[in-house]
Amino acid sequence: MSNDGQNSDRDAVDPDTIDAVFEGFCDRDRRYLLYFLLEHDHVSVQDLGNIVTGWVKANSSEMGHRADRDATLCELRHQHVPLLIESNLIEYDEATESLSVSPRFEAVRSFIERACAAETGS
Amino acid sequence: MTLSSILERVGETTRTIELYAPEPLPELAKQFERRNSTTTYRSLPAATDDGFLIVFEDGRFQTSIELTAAREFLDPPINEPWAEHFVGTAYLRLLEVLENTLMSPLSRRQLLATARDIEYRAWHVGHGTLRVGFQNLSAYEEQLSVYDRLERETDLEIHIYGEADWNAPVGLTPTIHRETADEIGSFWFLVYDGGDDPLGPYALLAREEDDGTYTGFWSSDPELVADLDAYLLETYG
Repeated sequence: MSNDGQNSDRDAVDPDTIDAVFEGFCDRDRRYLLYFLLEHDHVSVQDLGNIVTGWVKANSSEMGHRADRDATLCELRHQHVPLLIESNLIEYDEATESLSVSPRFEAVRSFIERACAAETGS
Repeated sequence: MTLSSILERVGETTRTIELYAPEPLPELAKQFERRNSTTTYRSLPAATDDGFLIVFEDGRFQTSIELTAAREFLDPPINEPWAEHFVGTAYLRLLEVLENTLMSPLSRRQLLATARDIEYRAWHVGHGTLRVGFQNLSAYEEQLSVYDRLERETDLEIHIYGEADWNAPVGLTPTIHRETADEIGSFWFLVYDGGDDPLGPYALLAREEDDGTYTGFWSSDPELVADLDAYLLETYG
């Protein structure tokens, strides 16, 4: 699973972590936020507003406009980011308004990778 | 005012393009590099099969689009103005994303594809004024069949501008302006006032550089289109 030495493919993931992942996964914007964190350790919420808008729209062959981005950023700030912090999947640095991955994220990294491949791959 | 000054005006807005893809895309990045602008790349997970780009205007999110459409820009499709499959193509979405952006270098094919979008709009609205600068009238000769049909099957008022290196046959209906001004020889333009359709106004303006590529932009900004239209009318009739 993760390559930090604390887990292996044979380790069971605790049920609370599974709950957190599925709650995180049940919203498309939250999934794409987690997919982006697979590749980048730190991302500002501001940037994630742009990225989640562009990526989600692109996968529906749609253009994203400023109003879409504003709505996405608002939901990230007030709904998705607080939920992901609460579930310990991400960590938040108030000073820089940026997100980073948590140990729990690392414990389920392979789940997130598989979901990313299934949803954004060919 | 000159055509160059209008080009400069559009170049004053700072635009940034962020490319998101599993692998860097130097060819695309180079295409979108322009004066007063930057293109940055950020990686997406390798399993992702495509990506997207975001255009920022003066630091603010403007539009985003999938990279499939952006790649089409490198070798755009050329459709006839009356082609039914014209609407809804990824390429048209890209034109919308990149409008009001001063781009360089642009190829003749990219400009022709964009010109066809303007001719398509004019064809569908069916009235209003379309001013087209071909640089040289011999370039118009190559597009004669397209413009002949536009003229015959619509109520468009069409004005053609160019340096006089070709004698148009007598009896052609578009008004042909044989000009000697340097800017007419170096600028490729289409300016459509949109008739009474508020979504109709559209313009393309591009200057040919010494290496044969072009620097230019396209825009649906009604004020900018009206300024170009008025300038051409006052200066060349």
